[in-house]
Amino acid sequence: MHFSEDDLRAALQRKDPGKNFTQRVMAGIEPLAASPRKARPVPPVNRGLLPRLFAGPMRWITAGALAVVMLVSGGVLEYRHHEEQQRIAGEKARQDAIFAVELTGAKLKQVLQRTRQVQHEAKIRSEKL
Amino acid sequence: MSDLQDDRVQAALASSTNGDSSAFAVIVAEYQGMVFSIAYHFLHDRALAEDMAQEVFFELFRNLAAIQSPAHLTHWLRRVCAHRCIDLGRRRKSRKETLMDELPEPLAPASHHDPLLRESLQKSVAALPETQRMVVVLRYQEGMSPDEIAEILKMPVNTVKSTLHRSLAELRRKLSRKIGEVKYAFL
Repeated sequence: MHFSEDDLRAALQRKDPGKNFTQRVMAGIEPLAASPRKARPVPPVNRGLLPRLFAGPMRWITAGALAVVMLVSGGVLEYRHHEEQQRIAGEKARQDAIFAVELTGAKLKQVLQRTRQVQHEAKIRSEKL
Repeated sequence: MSDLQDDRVQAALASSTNGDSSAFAVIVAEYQGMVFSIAYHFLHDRALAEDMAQEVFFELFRNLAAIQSPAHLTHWLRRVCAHRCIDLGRRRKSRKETLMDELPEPLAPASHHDPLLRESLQKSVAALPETQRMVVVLRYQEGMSPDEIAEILKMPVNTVKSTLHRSLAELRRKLSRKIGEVKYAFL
C-alpha cells in the first residue's frame, strides 16, 4: 500500500480530547491553586503602581478605599434609581389627571348641549301656544 | 496562531500568572487539541492520552511564572508532552505491533481519504520505536521542521532527518508487507 506525506498528515491530524476536558483540568488544578505557589520574582523597576497597591500593608488601605468607593457608588446608584421611580410615578399621575379633566370636560359638554336642546324645544312649544 | 489568538493567550498568560484561574482555562482550551493529539498519536490510547495531557497542563500551571510568551508556551508544551510521552512509552514497552494483525486491509489501492489507510497509518506510527514515533508525530501532526524537532527532543538535526527517513521507510515496508499478506491469503 502506498501513501504520501499528505496521507500521513491526514492520519495524524489534531483531535480534540473528550468533553469537559478543560473543566477536568481546572478541577485538578484547584488543589494546586489552593496551596501556596512560589511567588514570581519581579524586579522592582517593573513593578507599577497597581501591583504595589495590592502588596504588603498597602493592601488593607486599598481594600478599605475600594470598599468606600463601592459603597458611595452603590448609594449614588440607589438614589438615582429612587429619583427615576419618583419621576415615573409623577408622570403617570399627571397623565391620569389630564385624562380625568378631559373626561369631565367631555361630559360637561354633553350636558350643556342637552340643556340647550331642551331650552330650545321649550321655547318653540311656548311660541306655538 | 493568528495575532488575535496570540494577544488572547498573552493576556491569559498574564492573568493566570497573577492567580486568575479562569484565564488558565482559556490557555487549556486553546492548547488542549495540540497536547492531547501529540499524546494520542504517540500512545494510541485515548484515556491514557487524556491523562497525559492533564498532567502536562498541571505541570504548566506549576511553571506558569517561567512562561514568557505564547510562542514560548507552545514550545514548552510540545517539549514537555513529547518527553513525558517518550518516558511513558519506554516504561510501558508495549508496542502496538500485535494490533496490526487485527487490522482489516483493503485489496484495492487506497484513495486519498481512505479511512482504512488512515487507521493503518495511525497504528503503524503507534508501533514505531518511541523516538521515531515522536519525530513523525511532531513532523506530520505539528508540521514542525527538523530543526525545531531537534531542539525539542535535544537531538542533532541530521539525526532527526535520518530518523524521519528511516521511519517513513519502515511505515511503507510495514504497510506493503501487510497488504502482500492479505493478497496472498486470497490467492
